[in-house]
Amino acid sequence: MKNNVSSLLIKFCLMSSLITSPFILSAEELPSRLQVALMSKIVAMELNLAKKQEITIFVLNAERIFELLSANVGFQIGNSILLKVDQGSEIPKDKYDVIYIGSFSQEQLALDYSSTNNALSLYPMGAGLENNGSLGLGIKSGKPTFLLNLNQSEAENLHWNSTILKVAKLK
Amino acid sequence: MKTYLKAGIFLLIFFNSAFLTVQAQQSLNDKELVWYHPNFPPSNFVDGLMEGLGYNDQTEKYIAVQLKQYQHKFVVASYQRIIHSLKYAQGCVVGVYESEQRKKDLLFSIPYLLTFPNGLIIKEKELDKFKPYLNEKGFISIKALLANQQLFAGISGGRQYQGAIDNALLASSANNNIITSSNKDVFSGLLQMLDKNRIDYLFGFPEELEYHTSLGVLDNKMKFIPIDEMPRFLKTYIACSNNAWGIKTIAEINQLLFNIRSEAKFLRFYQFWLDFDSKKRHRSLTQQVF
Repeated sequence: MKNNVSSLLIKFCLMSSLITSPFILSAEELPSRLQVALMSKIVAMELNLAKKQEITIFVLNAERIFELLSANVGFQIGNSILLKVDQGSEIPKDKYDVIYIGSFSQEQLALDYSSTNNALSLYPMGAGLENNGSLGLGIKSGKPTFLLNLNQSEAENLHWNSTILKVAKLK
Repeated sequence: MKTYLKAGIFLLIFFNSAFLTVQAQQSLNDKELVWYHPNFPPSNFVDGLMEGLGYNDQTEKYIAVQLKQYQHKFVVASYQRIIHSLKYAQGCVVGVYESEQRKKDLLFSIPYLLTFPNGLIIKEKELDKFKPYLNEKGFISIKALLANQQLFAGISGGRQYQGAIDNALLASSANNNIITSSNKDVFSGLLQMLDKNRIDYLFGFPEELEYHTSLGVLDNKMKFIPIDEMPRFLKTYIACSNNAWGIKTIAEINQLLFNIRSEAKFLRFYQFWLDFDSKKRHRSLTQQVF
C-alpha cells in the first residue's frame, strides 16, 4: 500500500515536472533583495522552522544574498530570530537550518547536505542551476514565483504549510 | 390610565434598549481600527508573494500587534480614496506626509520615520537632455526643468510629491507638458510610459525606482536624479480620521511611536530597501532628528 502511494507520488511529481518545464525555462532570477524579503515568508511556511526560536542560514556562493541576510542578523525572520548567517564556497561542516545554493558548481553536494541535515535548500531560478533544491525563487512577467520540489522537500523532512501549495508551482 | 402607564413603560423600555444598542454599536466601532493602504511597492505590496512585505505594511502590522485594544481591519485603496475614507469614515493610514490641506481633514501622529524625498526619473540614455538643468553636485532644478515645455512630465493625480515638486507643479498646472495619470497605481504605469517614450520624466522615490527596475520588465535603463530644491529628508506620519475617535487613537499611537521610532528593528523595515550608503545616512539622520 505504502509502495503504491509512493509510486503514485513519484508519477505525480514526474508529470508535474513535465508540466512545469516551460515554467522553469521561462522564470528568471529574482532580485536578491526580493529573495531575502521572501525568505521571511518561506521560513514561516515550513512547520519545523516556524516552531524554532532561532534560525541559522548558510549561503553557498552568493555574496549579495549573504550581505543582505547579514544585515538582518538579530532580527525577526518569519516567527523566529535570525541567529547566524555564514557564507562560503564549500559545503559547511556545521549544521544549519537553511542552505542557500547560489551556483551550479556544488549543487548536488549541497542537496546531499540538506537531505542529511534536514536543512531547507533554497536557490535562485534562472541562475544556471538544475533547479533540484526544495524551493526555487524566480520571477516571471515581473511577478515573483516559487518552484516547490516535493521529492527534495521529503528528503529534507520538510512539512510545508498548505498555503505554499496554493502559491508555488510544483516540481 | 392603566393603558397610558403601560404604554409609557413600554416606550421607556423601547427607547432605553434602542439607546443601549446604539451605544453598544458605537463602542464596538470605537474598538475597530481600519488600516487603509495603497498598492505602492516597495512601501506596500497588496497581492502576490510579496503581499505584506513592504516597509509600510510591516510598520502597520508592528503597530497593530501592539494596539491590542482594537480589532484591526485592513483595506486596500488608492491614496485619493484613502484620504476621502478617512474624512468621512473612521480609520488610519501609515506613511503619509503632512500638508496644510491634509491637516484640515486628518489628524497626524508625531513623525515616526525619515524618508528620502522624491526625485527625478529619466532614461539614462537621455541624460544629455537634462544636463542644462543640473548643478555641479548633479542635482536638478525642478523650476527650470518644468519651464521647458518641450519636455513632458508624467505625474499621478492622487500623489503628493511634497515641497518644491508640488509647488512647481502647481505653478505650472496650466502648461501642456504635464500629463496627469488618474490610475490607482501611482508609479509603475508612469514608469512604463517613460519606458515607451510617451513622457520624458516622472518623479518617484529612489527605493521605488530600484524595486521596479529590478523586476526586469523595462527596455531602458533608468536614472534617478535628486532635486536641488527638495529637502534632504522628509518626516513621515501616521494619519487618522479627524474626530473624537481619531484624537483618542492618535494619542495611543503617539505613545507607542515615541518609544519605537528609534529602535533598530523598527527602522529596519525602511532601511532594508536602501542601498548601503543611503542606509548609513539614514541611521545618522535618525539619530540626529529623533
